[in-house]
Amino acid sequence: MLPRNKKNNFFSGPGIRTRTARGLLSLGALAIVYGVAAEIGRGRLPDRIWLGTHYVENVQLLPPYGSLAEEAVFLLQSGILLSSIAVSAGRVLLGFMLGAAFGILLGIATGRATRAEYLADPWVTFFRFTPALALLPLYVLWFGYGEGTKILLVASSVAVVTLLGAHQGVRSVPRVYLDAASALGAGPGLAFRKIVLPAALPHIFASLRIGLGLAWVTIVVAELIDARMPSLGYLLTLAGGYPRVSTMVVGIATIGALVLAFDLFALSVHARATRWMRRTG
Amino acid sequence: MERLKSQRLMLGLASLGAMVLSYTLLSHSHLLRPEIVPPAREIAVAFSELVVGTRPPPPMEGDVHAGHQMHSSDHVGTLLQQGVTLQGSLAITAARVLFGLAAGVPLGILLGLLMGFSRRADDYLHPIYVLLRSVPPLALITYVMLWLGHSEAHRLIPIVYAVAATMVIPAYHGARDVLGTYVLAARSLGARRWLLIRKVLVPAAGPTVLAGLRYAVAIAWMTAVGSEMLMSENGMGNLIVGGGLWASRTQTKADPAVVIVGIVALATAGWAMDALAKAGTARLTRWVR
Amino acid sequence: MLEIEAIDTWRGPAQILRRVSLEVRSRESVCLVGRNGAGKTTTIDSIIGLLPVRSGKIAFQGRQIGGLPPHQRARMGIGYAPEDAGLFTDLTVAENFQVCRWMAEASGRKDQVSEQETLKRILAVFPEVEKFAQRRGLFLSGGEKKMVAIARAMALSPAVLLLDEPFEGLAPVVVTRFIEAVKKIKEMGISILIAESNLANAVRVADRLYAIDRGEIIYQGDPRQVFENEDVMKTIRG
Repeated sequence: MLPRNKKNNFFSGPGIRTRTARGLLSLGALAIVYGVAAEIGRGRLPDRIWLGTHYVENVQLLPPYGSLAEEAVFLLQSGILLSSIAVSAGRVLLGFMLGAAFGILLGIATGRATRAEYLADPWVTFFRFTPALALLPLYVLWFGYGEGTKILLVASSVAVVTLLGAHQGVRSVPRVYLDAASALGAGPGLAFRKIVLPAALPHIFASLRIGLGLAWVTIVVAELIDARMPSLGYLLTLAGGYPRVSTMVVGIATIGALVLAFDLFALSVHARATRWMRRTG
Repeated sequence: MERLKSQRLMLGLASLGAMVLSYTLLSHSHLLRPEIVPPAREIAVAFSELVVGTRPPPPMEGDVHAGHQMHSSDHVGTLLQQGVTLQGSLAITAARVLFGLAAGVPLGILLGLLMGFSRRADDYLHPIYVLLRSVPPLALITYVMLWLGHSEAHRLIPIVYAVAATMVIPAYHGARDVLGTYVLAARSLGARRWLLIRKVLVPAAGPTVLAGLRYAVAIAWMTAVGSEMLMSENGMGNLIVGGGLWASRTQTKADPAVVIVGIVALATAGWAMDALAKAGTARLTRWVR
Repeated sequence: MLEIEAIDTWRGPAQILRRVSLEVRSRESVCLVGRNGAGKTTTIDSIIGLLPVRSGKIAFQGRQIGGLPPHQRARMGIGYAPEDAGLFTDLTVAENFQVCRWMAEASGRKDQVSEQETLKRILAVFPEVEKFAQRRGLFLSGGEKKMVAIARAMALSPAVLLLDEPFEGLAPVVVTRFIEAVKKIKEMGISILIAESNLANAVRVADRLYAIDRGEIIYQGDPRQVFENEDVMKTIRG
């Protein structure tokens, strides 16, 4: 068991090739396990499911890869999958940008001015502890069933997270730094640009990443609850209604892949931004 | 500086007061339909009905708010028929949250610590974890239902899953950031492996893990409410959406007063649990130091 | 040049300074001596403006500066090195000095001093700085940090320098080195006000001495004669 320390970083110890190999190995093992289980289950798993009010026949609980591939091809060719992706991802992006902009600006404001923080406190606390999903019925009542409601819901949850991140980031600068800068002649605007903002950025980026994940979670459930075509949530709901398990699995896999892709993208942006910041001091 | 502290309370109250005031004005101004912006009185009525669990006697003729009818909505009616009370629902949801935490937290921490301390485990498990984490727990709920039917387990699994996935990250980072010097120092003092783990590694990783706990609590609430809104006939999520299962979701007209009552109740409960977690964390970290 | 007249300063609910008056004249080094907690840091913070003064006046080069924020007082020519150096640990030492360049850019001053000039002036006083100019603030020893703090305070070509406990925690050899530096700074025409808890150090470097206890000035005058004043000695020594 190797203890980890600062020197024991990503590039020391067993080489990166070994580590990637191990990762691929375990993923491959997982894939094989699933394939085997699906084959075994083909004959043995129950295919008659009680859905609370009625029985449903002919359900493949663990669809083998063949069915999955078939289903995936169908969904792609018919355009259903792609349009669902477009709709859901679009909502996520819009909601995310809206919420992030609002949250960061507000968070910076509350971080800088204590009075602003006290004013905003009850609101922030309220939104923080209300599960975003609980707001959905309210938003639906107020704004109807359209796109705006879902986007607003996503924006709400993202805003809370980014607000907290920006607030913490601004607050993370030690008082001593600010005093020293002040005593060296730096006015508030200059001190903010050169000291506070760079210190806050890591916190802000971390919260952006969390917010993105949260945005996806929110949109999926919002789409599940209020399902309209075309969206990934609706796809899942529909699949659950029949039920067509292979569609569900494809749908779930697609959502997972999208979330992963978005997260990796956010991560790379973060890395690039940190490198750029380090270079320009 | 101390002037600001006393301002804290005043400004907070002022902010709340402004909101209540503007809300009351808005709801009484008849600018928007009362179905959308229920006056405070209706909210209070809904609240009391839901707490007590029964309908009050019908309103009298000379009612003050004769502009729009004071009536117990269908929403409340449906709920009351099912014997639902506000505190009952809240208790049910809270129970689910606590169960999810009790099962998910240790699971997540174990996994995270394992991956953090052992490079090997990390290599093998990390990709799988990333894959699993990418799937929103509630997306799985329809699939799980096929396996387990409409049972309590079916509702609880997403919560446990979400909590565990959330707790892995702080445990992982907490373990990784334990400086090698701690271990070297302890080793040079002759500490054996088990002692090392207990006395050095765990306390060092502890604070990060505990900080993640508060976040896990918030996620647990969100997942619990979501799973109730989708798949349950009791609990707060159900209360808000209007009772009844799955298919009838979008048909029921939700009463905004009930929704508001539900949201406020949820926010309060979530805040209370977080405050508990914060206090517990503070206590434990002091002890660890 | 710097005149403080009967100032009262609070920290939170507690009153720290009571009608403190002192003066720093041109080309003079003045020491403010007292025990820990007597009010030395509070006095310095009041002068630079990090703490508001509730009553009394502060005048610099004839102008009342009592209501001005710290950054404006700094730009007028008051330099400040805090007790714990307050270095920007992520920046290298050279970058810490370049802070003056930001100020010049920001305020668009015509008489801005070039980077070379500043560095030359600093090196004249602390030639050792050259050796670790590229090191990050995080990796400096206590003595090096204090050196950089003083040097940085000089970056804006101040007329008066406020030093809060510059010799604290330094080895005697280093203290002597610092005292030389202070004298050189004075030769350059900059007045200095030093808050110091060690009387011996203060006497070596001060033209005039103030003693403060519990927020009140209890002695002012010739440093060497303070030893003859028994009451004051007892209070300062604790």
